Amino acid sequence: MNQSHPNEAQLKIRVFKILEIAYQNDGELTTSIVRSHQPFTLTVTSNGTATLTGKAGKLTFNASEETRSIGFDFKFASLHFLGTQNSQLRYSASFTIGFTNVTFRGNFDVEKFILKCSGLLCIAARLMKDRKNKIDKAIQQSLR
Amino acid sequence: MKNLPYIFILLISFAAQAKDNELYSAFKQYSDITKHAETVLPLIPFYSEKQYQSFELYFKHENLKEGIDTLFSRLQFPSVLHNEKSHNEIINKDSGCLVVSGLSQEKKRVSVYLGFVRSYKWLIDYINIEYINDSDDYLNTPICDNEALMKKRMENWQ
Repeated sequence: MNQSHPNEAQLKIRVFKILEIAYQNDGELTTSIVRSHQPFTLTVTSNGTATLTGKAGKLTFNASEETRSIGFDFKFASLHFLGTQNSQLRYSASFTIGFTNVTFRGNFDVEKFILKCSGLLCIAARLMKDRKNKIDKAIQQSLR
Repeated sequence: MKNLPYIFILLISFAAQAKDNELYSAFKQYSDITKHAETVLPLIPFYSEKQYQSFELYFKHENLKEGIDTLFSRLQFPSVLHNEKSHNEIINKDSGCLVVSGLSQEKKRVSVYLGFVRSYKWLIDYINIEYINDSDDYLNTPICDNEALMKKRMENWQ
């Protein structure tokens, strides 16, 4: 009940994880949107409905597990991504939690992200016992 | 008597400065009451009504409708600014926007944008905590609109 505001690093992990759910739902469409070199958006509502929209199409999926991790009073998230350049995906994010907002910008390596199941995340998942916390930590270290 | 015009100018400049800082003063008043929040936090179930009344002095009523027991920790947003560096504000009749910038506890640059509405006093209607990217600067002009702020930041990135 008395949780404090998630900070930038915690929210960046949620961004990464929500995109990961998009890949799990429709890897082909998500890859087309993310790698189109065109801007795209991601919105998430309070009930966890996420919508990824780009020139290549639109994908709606459930990200409620992630929104619950953000906080009981999560309201809305709006993310604007610039097209991928030199494998780097840059974005600007705004999260509405209660009646306060948290905004930040970030970027990550798309190639590493797409290939993650032969890389960082899968290795972490296989080797580590405390899967969730340690994967979050591994993601955090790979983000800027 | 010869110095009278200078004294007059000095008084006017003090008055203008005080007026310029009225949103910041409202923020500081609120910030001061949250400084002891950590000691009060475990007592919330017993103090909720009292706390609610005190928060009502600083926030637009609609923003508190979810109940103080769920909102309390979120209302400690001033603690994000561990080391305050600057502030700037704009007032337009019955609304205003203040930005207070500084460093977070993790030494990350951060700005808090606060939208105010004029009631019997200035009440907080909007809060945005912006963690500032390494390639960006603090904004001199406050922006109390998420989408407009994101758009401005993205323009710098193009």
